[in-house]
Amino acid sequence: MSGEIPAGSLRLAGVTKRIGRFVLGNISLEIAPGEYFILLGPSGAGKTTLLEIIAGLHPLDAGEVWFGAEKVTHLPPEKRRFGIVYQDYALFPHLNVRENIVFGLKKVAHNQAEQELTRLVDLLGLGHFLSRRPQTLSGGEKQRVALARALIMKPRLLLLDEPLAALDPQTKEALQPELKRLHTLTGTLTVHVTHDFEEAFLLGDRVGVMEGGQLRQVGSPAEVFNRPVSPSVARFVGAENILQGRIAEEKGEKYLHLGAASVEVETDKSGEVQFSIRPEQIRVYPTTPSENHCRGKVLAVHPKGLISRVIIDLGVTLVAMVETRTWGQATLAPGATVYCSIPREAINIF
Amino acid sequence: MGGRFFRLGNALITYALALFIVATVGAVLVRGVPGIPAALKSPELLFALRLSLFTSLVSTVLAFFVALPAAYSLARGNLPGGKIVADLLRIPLNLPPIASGVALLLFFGTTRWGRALANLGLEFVFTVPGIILAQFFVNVPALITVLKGALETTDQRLENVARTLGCTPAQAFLRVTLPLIRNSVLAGLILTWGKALGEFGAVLMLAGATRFKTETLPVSLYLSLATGDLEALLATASLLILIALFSLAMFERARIKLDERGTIL
Repeated sequence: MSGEIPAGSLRLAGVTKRIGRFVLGNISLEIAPGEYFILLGPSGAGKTTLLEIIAGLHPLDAGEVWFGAEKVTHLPPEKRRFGIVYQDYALFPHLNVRENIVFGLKKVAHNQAEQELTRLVDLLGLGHFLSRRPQTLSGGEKQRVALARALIMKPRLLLLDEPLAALDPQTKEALQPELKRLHTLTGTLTVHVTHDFEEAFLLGDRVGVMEGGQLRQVGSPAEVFNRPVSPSVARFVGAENILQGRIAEEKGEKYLHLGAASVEVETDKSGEVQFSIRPEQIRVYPTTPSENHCRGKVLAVHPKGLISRVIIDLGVTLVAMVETRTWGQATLAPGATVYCSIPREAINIF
Repeated sequence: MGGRFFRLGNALITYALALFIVATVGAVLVRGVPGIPAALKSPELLFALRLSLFTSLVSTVLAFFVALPAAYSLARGNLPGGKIVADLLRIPLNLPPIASGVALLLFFGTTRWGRALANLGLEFVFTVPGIILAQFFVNVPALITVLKGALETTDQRLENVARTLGCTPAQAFLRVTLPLIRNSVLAGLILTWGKALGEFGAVLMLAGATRFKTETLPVSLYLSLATGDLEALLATASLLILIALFSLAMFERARIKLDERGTIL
């Protein structure tokens, strides 16, 4: 590869690893110094394996791992200075919180270690727990201890394996901004594995979508959210309407026909295409505000608080999210006639 | 109604078996224990006791240092051909000890390897090192099984984290995994030691039964039987039973501690 390699960046080149029948295939990825990178994917996609490969815990079948200008492919984990936090935190059960946190510190620099410990304990609010055993802590507390244990080593990069997955919704909500804060504070390149798209959207500078041992798409959260590159990525990020249609050209403009509707699109593709539309980008009205709307029939309504998931027959079946408050007197019920509009930017052609 | 008879039947059989064991073992103790102080003045029994303690301790320590790495590589599941190796390692566990003894005797007494070792001064046939080897051979598979079981309950990821915190694989094992399985290690060692102390068949075949030379407690018991010395026989048997009871009690203690930790986790 040519060009400058920024110090403190992480680069994977053609990383390949076979474990039993599972193959992590030819993964190439560059993460900028200080970036918060999210590895997103369903369980079994190989996210944790990739994280462990970055940590140096699995020898590679092929490919290279670089940290800045240093090739670390064959460097053992103890020499990489990459910190890891596992989903259920993997705290050492035979040690108390304090012993867990200082586990990796060398005995020599005792004073400095003490200072470092105090700083992290304050930062993470662990003052009351130092002499407790991990078994007696709540999920959120364990999480902080695991973070402190990794951070006290001043890691060159931080690997987080589903750090919020095992927490209850409230704790999770409280810890998300805390992760962001820690990242801003330390500026450490972070790779965060999750299967939760909202988490990815909230925390990630960039997102890499993994599936079946492959890295399918890398981009900003908005990019991945709005422009998934394949039906499977679209399905995973919640773009539920995955359809087939035909692009026709009329007077130099391209139109996509779906059911009775036709929407102007900008694309260099033509003929039969596959595309996705996010449900919340379809606008649904009780009466027709203009001529560009197509008529449909409501098949089912699933209320979800202020928003309802509505299944509409437009010649093709579409899922739309409708804010029911805006409907006033009109009823949104199966059998009702509705009018939909689909903005051209909502159409994502694969 | 059927359920009640079923439970009652099971309970009766359980109690009957327990009673039977207490009666038989007790019969030996009742007649043998009073003779122990006198027997302990006999130089022959003292020799056997000392030899038994020495050989069983040495063979247990050896077994530990071989079983631990073996159990680790089997438990972590990254050993090529691990399943077959695990089966091979279990062979002595299911072999009658006396057959193990024959195998050892043949190997060290008649093969080129055995003779080569003997020429290097490692003589096992009819010697004290032979006693240790026989105890080791018979006991090491059980110890591997105990340690492997304990290691399988520990989380590989704890070692992974330790590695990222600067530990070599060996340091990660010693600082994290070993402390976590220490009760199982203790239980396994007590079990191994108790069995080594009582090992007879394999020891007899390889090391023979020479008075004041390869005479361990079980061998001494056998010799007393052969010469019809009933008093010495009962005293020796009682001694062996008491040691066994002691090691069983220690084993249970270690296991209970392990369970307590298990419930906290």
